[in-house]
Amino acid sequence: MATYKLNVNGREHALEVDPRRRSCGRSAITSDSPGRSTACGQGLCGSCTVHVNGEATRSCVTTVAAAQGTRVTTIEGLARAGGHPVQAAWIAEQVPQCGYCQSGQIMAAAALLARTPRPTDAEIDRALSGNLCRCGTYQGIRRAIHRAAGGGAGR
Amino acid sequence: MTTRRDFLATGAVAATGLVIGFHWPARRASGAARDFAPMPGSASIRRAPVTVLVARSEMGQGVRTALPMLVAEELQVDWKDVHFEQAIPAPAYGDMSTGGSRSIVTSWEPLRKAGAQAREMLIAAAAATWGVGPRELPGGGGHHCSPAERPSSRLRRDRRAGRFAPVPDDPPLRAPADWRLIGTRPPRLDVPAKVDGSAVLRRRRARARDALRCRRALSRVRRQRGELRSGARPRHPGVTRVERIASGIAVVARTRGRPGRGGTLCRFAGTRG
Repeated sequence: MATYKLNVNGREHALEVDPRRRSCGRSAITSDSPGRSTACGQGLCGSCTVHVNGEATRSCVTTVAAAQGTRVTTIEGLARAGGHPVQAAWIAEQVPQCGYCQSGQIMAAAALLARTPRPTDAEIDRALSGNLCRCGTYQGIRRAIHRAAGGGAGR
Repeated sequence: MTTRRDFLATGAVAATGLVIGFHWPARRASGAARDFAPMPGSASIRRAPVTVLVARSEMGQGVRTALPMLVAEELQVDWKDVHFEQAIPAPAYGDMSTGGSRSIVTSWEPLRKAGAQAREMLIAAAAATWGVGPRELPGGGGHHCSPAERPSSRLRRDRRAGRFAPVPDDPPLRAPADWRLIGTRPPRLDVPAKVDGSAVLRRRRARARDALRCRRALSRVRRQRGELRSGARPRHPGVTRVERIASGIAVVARTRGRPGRGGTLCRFAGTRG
């Protein structure tokens, strides 16, 4: 056991945990982000995607030790800042169905738009190919990303 | 999610007025009158804002929007005033299974009728308060108030006291030509929470204050040894209650982990939420 400091959504957390504990375990991220899904636990589905220093990261395969000293942002952190254009676009396009994967999809989309403000369909597909949606909302996700990018719905 | 008890208690405290229960037929609506007989508590709506307890599972098919639409259509309330809450399973709801595209079919008449009943009762209450005929009141928007005045203290008092006319057996349903919501695609009620992360999905629900009710048939060995008697005083930290139920034993605990620890005595088939 060791003590680690994590910054999650702007709040500092001191955790005394096994350094090998993955961040989807009982960690600061869990307590600070009930909206973040933990699904496969193996980095395969993308539902648990958060931002680590702005990069889309699978929290389920990120150890607490690796997250120390970074800025972790979850879906709640994205909303806390008064809402995010991606979230507004998600609502406008009525993207979610069951909703389980959506926090991860939104985080991945926000990270994509941060580095590629006007992505093409191919770039969207490439960036979000690791975020699975069993409801099949992929077309809506594309439209919402284009909308958030300022290109209107669909392109 | 809301239990019927929570809902009724909240409604009583908030004095928001009317709570209507109705019977959701367990199978396809047969048209028999008994299928639609009001049964207080089996499902409820509460007005201004309207909250519809949805006793079906939302799996992305939109049932948390479609079913409130049926109520709102008859109640003639603005869509922005309509909310849903997920009903906690209870025997009064009957068959809550969701599948086979049956949700609308089985809810079509009961929910519309419940909305119409509420509408007629509110109109009757307002008309009695102001001493006018029910049809003299303006409808629409869910506000059955005289244009020049707000609900009187007597009406508010009557609402608190639940002094409404009896639930009408056969309220008129709005004709398809008058529908304003049915047939449209209003914003889905469940979307915002799924976008801002506030939606609590099943596997995420592990808050300490939530008592998680787990069920499982009692281990034969433990049953023989009587270690989980109904009403037994829990010996495990966090486990607040142990009750024998028809299908086995219910263990109520404050955290997900506690039933698991109590679960050295038993395994759990499911968790609430």
